[in-house]
Amino acid sequence: MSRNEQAGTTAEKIRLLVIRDLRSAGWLLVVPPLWVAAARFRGGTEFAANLRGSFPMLAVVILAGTALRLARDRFDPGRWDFLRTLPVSTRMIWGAKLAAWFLFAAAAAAIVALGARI
Amino acid sequence: MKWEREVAASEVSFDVSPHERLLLLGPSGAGKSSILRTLIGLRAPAAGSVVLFGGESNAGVRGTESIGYVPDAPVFDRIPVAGMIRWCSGFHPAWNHERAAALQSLFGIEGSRRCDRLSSFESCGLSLLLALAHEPPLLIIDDPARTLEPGERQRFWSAVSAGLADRPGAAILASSALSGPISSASSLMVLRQGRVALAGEIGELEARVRRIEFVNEGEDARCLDLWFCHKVKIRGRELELLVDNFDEATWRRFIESPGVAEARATPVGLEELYAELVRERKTPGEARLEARTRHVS
Repeated sequence: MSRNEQAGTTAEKIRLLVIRDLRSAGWLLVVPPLWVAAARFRGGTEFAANLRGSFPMLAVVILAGTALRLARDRFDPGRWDFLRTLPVSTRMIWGAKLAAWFLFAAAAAAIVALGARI
Repeated sequence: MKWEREVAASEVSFDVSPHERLLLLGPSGAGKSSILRTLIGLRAPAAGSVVLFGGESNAGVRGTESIGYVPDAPVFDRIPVAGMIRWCSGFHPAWNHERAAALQSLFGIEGSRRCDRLSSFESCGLSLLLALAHEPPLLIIDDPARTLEPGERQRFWSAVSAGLADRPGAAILASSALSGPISSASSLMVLRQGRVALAGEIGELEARVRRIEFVNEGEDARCLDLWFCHKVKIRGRELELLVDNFDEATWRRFIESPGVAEARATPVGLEELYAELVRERKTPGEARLEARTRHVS
């Protein structure tokens, strides 16, 4: 099915909402590499242990930061009204945000894991 | 209908037929946006109901493809215009790419520009594009052009007029000025302080609005009871009325009334009538602003 044919389907709407949310919070993905770099700088030979020790804090920063960023739409009247005038339900908007949040967390975890191996 | 703790609009009731273009006219704070937001379902009315496309719902028609909405202050993400148009087109199976391209060109919006860096005029244009390109049965425009320069405002409303000319469907256009959107409208509703001051089809309104000047030689002014007056100016025995229920039968009864002499009726333009309707009557918004200013000073 071409992109034009998919337009208006529920799957396409969710995909578009998730993409928008990932784009909106995407810049937060610079945090994990910075975190890895800082751990390497501070830890020297004990880099891996140092990084593992800081995982809980990193997780809190990333997940809370992403959640706040994604929830920002709700507190910006212009953006929230814009979303609600799209042909989607409020439940779909929040569902897409939750999906984006999980994807984001997975991406952040992958970056950290990759950083620990390097 | 309440907006925060104040009543934004009350006793407002209207029908829009499938091909009607209703112009909601009123100064800032008259209740236009509140009515439109309630209609769409962005706000819930404190009382009353909204019936759209045959289905009664106080939640309006939010979440459907039946409405194209241009908000009063469009807000866009930090993405290129082309990306935004592509993104929005994914929500609508009936997206008209030719219309979108034509509007983009009309407003001179380059696809590579970032949406959040567009000028007010370009933002209005993009918002109109996004509202019109999916060919909705109902288009709602909430006066986004009010902050534009007169020339740009005219261009915006000309684009609306052109966009409405070649498509079926209804439209509700809100504006604080008559001159731009009047060419697109088939009917008019003037709001003042959250209430309807005047409503009707434009041709019919033009036919029934008159300025009546006469000399009252009678003992009382009972002859005035025949008219719905929006303005009464008295200079000694000479009276000047601005009425909106003129017709031949009422006019004949009026000139035959005891004490009425030298009566003449002249047509009045809608622009002048609107100016009279909103003149020196403070809207709730203006009154609040004035009170706040006085408090600060």
